[in-house]
Amino acid sequence: MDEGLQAVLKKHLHLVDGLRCISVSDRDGVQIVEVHTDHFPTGVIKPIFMGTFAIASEQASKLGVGKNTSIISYYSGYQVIQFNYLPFVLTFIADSKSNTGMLYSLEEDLRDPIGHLQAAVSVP
Amino acid sequence: MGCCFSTEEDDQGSHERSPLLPDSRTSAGHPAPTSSLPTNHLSKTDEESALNQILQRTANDVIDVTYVEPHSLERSELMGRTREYQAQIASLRRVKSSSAMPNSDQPPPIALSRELTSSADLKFLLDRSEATDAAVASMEVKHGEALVVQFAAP
Repeated sequence: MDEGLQAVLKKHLHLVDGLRCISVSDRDGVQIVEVHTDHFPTGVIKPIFMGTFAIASEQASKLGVGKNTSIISYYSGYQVIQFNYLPFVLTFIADSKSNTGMLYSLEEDLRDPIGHLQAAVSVP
Repeated sequence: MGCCFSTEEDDQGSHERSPLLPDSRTSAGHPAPTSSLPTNHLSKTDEESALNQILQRTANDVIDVTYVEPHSLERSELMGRTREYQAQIASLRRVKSSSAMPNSDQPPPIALSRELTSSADLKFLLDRSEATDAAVASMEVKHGEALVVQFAAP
């Protein structure tokens, strides 16, 4: 499964120009599976950064407009798209000029593999 | 900094505006008191539980931005959890690989020393393959109407 999911993520990594990293972590930012290109901002996948999504998503879900499903953050150099699969978090890190719509559509293809991961891996 | 509250309706029936002390004359769910001491004790418990419910729900609904600070994991805990995930994924990989491609992960001598496919099975497979091939080759499309239709021809 790891190899399978890793292979699937690696295949998707090259589908969108500028996509640097695809990562699946738990709510505290602990990495489970991750693929990346040669150059990507390593600080983004540190638990201190990744862990903020779970809290932000939970707080945003209280706004009265339904459950928060994803958060897109734009920076001058990169964009970070995080999807709510809590207790898992799917993260795309891409160049700031990458096509966000195409990146976003990648998530649909990854639902099944991540669903299998959710069924197999228990989060403490 | 500000606080936001969800305005979703609670269908449990009790909310911030519901009376904490039940009106014994109008409420059907609460019987009229027969003696003062037990009823007072009961209503006090009800009041506390209702207050706790409100407090809990309010705490859940409040958007507290000061809380947006992840608790940093200890390095040992981080490593331990990573190892735990790797172990779970590794066990899953073994199950997956054995179910998806049986016997594919065995050493070559064991895989090659297995019993060969019987000649009858082989003949059956070849016959079916040839029959399928002949069926596909003999397929043809026959047109029932004119292939070219002239529109608005004089």
